[in-house]
Amino acid sequence: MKRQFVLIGGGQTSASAARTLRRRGFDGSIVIVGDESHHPYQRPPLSKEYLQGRAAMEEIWAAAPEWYSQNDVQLELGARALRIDRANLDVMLEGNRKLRADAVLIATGGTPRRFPGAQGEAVLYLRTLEDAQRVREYARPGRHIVIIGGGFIGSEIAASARTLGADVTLLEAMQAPLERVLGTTLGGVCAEIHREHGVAIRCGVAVESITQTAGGRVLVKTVDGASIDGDVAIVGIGILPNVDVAKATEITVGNGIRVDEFCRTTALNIYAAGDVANHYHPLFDRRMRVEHFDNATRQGAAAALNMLGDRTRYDDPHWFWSDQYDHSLQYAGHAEQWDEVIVRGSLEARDFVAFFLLDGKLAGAFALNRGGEIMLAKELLARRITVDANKLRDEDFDLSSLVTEDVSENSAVDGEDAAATAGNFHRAARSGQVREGSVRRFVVQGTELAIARLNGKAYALHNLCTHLACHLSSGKVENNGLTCLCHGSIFDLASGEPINPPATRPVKTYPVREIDGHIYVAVE
Amino acid sequence: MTEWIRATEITPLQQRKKLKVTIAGVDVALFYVDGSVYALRDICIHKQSSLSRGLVFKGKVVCPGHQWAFDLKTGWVDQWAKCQPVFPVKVEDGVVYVAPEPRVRDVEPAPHERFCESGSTA
Repeated sequence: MKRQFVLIGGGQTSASAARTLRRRGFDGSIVIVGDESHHPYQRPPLSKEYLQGRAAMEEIWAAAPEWYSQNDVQLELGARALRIDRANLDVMLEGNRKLRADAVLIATGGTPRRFPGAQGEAVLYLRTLEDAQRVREYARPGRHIVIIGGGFIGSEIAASARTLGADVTLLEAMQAPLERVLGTTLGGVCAEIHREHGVAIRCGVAVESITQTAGGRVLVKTVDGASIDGDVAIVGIGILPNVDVAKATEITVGNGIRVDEFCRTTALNIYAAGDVANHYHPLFDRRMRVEHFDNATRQGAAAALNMLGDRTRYDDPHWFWSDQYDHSLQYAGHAEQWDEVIVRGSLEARDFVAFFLLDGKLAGAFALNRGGEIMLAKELLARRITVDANKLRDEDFDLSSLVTEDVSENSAVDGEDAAATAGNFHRAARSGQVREGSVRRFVVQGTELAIARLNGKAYALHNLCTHLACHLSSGKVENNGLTCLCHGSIFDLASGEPINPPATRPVKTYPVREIDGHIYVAVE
Repeated sequence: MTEWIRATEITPLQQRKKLKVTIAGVDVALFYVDGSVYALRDICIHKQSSLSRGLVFKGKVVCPGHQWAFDLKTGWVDQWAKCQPVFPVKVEDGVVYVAPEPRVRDVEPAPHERFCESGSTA
C-alpha cells in the first residue's frame, strides 16, 4: 500500500510541507486537513495588502488552487481533526471519519487571544480571511477604529486603516508599541511614525473593558479612567496555540506542542511545525514558539524532510518583516533579552539596523528600511559569528565582508608568482584586504585562517580559538595580540601562544610572505 | 538580430558593484560579480522593491524588501519557484550593453545554468 502522510492544518505550514514532499519526489498520498473552507492562504497580507485592497484573493494563495490537483494532494477542507490514534496513526476527524497515516504533521496554528468580557459584532480579531473582510468594512474615511494592542498585528492594522483614511486610536499597555521585541527606544521610533500618520496612540495604559453599546458602536475604557468611543474595536493581543489535537493525542504540550530540532513531538511519527510548535532551537540553545510566516514555510519544509526519513535540523535563525506605511521593518534572530543595543545608522532618518547583544553575542537585529543588512545579520547569527560592537556601529565598515570574505582557491588562478608560491606558499588575500589593525577570515587550501595586520606586518593564525572554537577573525587586533571576543582569550600574533586566559593552548600559526600586493601563506 | 543598448561604461559598475540603469524605459539592475556582469529587472516581481538596493550574496541578489533571493544568472528564486526577468548583457571595449528583451523562465533552471552551481561562490 502506498504511504500516506496527513497534514493537519490548512495554512502555510502544511502547504509548504506538501510542496517540499512533492519536490523531493515523495510519491505516496498527501492529505491536508483544514478547518477553514479555503485553500491554504498566506496570512501576512490580511493586515496589509489584502486589507488595503491592493492584493486580490488569488494573489495570496499559499499555492495556486490547481497545484493541489496537479500534484495529487488531497484537500479535506472545512474538516476538523479531533485526535490521532497513536498506535496506528489513524487521524480521527469530526463526523466519525478517519484517515490512515504513516506520518502526521500537526500544523494547527493559533487562535487570537480574546479580550475577557468583550462581546458583540463590533469587537473584531484578525486571523482569517473572513476576519480581514470584516475589518475592511471599517477601514474607510469617517470610521473610527480603536485598536487594542500595539504588537505587529495591531501596528499593521493601524497603518493600513490610516492609509485607507479611517480614524485610528491605538492603545498599548506597555510603554511603546512592539516594546517586547524592540525595547522602549526603538518602539518609540515606531510610535512616532504612527503619530506622524495621524494615529492617536496611547501607550502605558491598560484597557479595562470593551463594551458594545446601543447602535452597534463600542466603548473602550482604560484603567486610568478614559473612555474611547469607536465604530469598532479590533483586539490584537496575541494568539494561543491550537493544541487540542495534540492534547487529545496525549502529546506533550506547554506553550504550544513541544518538538525537538527535528520537529518531532513526543509521539512517534507525529511532527509539529509553524505557529503551534514550541521548538528547541540549536542556535539559541533554548525553546521558542515563533508566529511568523517565514518560520511556517521553513519549519514546514524541515518537518516534511524529516517525515521522509531525513535528519534535518531546523536551525534557521528566524526572520520576519512588517510593512507599515512606506516603511520596511525587518527582524532577524530571537532576542528575548539583551544587555546592549548597537545602532548602525540613524534613528531620526529612519534608516538603521539595530543589533541586540547578549553577553557580547548577537541575539537579534531589527532594521528600519535596511533589508540588506538584515540578510547579513541573519548570516552572522546562523554562523554564530561574534562581531566587535564598534564594527557593527561603524558605517564605514563593510558588514558583508564578515560573511563573504572567503577567498576560495579558484580566485587565485589568475597567475601566481612561481617564486612567491615556492615552498608550499599559497596566495591567501590581496594586501589591501587586510588593513592595519584588522583581522579577516580567509580559506586557503581548505584551511580556515585569521589573517591580521599589526604595524604593517601580516600574520596568519588558524581561525578557531583553542578555547571554545570561536572565530578569531571576528576578534580584535591590539597590543601585539589577537583577542577572541567570545571569552577574552588573547593570542600572540607571531607565536600563537595564549597571553591571556581562558585559552591555555596555543593556536597554530602559519608562515606569511607578502609580495607585490599579495599575502601568501604556507599551509600543509 | 539582437538589439543591444548601451547601458553604462563598465568602470563605475566595477567600482560600485551594482548600478541601476534605464533600458528602453525599463529600470534594470546591473551587478558586477567575480568579473562578470548580470542584468535583472530592477523592480522585484514580489512587491516592487528595487533590486539594485539589494546585496549580492552567494551568487544571488537578495531583495531588501522581503529577502527573496534571485539567482544572478537565471533570476530564479528557489523558495518560491518563480523568476525575476533577466536581460542579455555583454561587455565590449569597456562598455556594458543590454538587450531590451528580458527572459522569464517558468520552469526551474537546471543546476548548470545557475550562478551558484556553475560559479565560484557556491
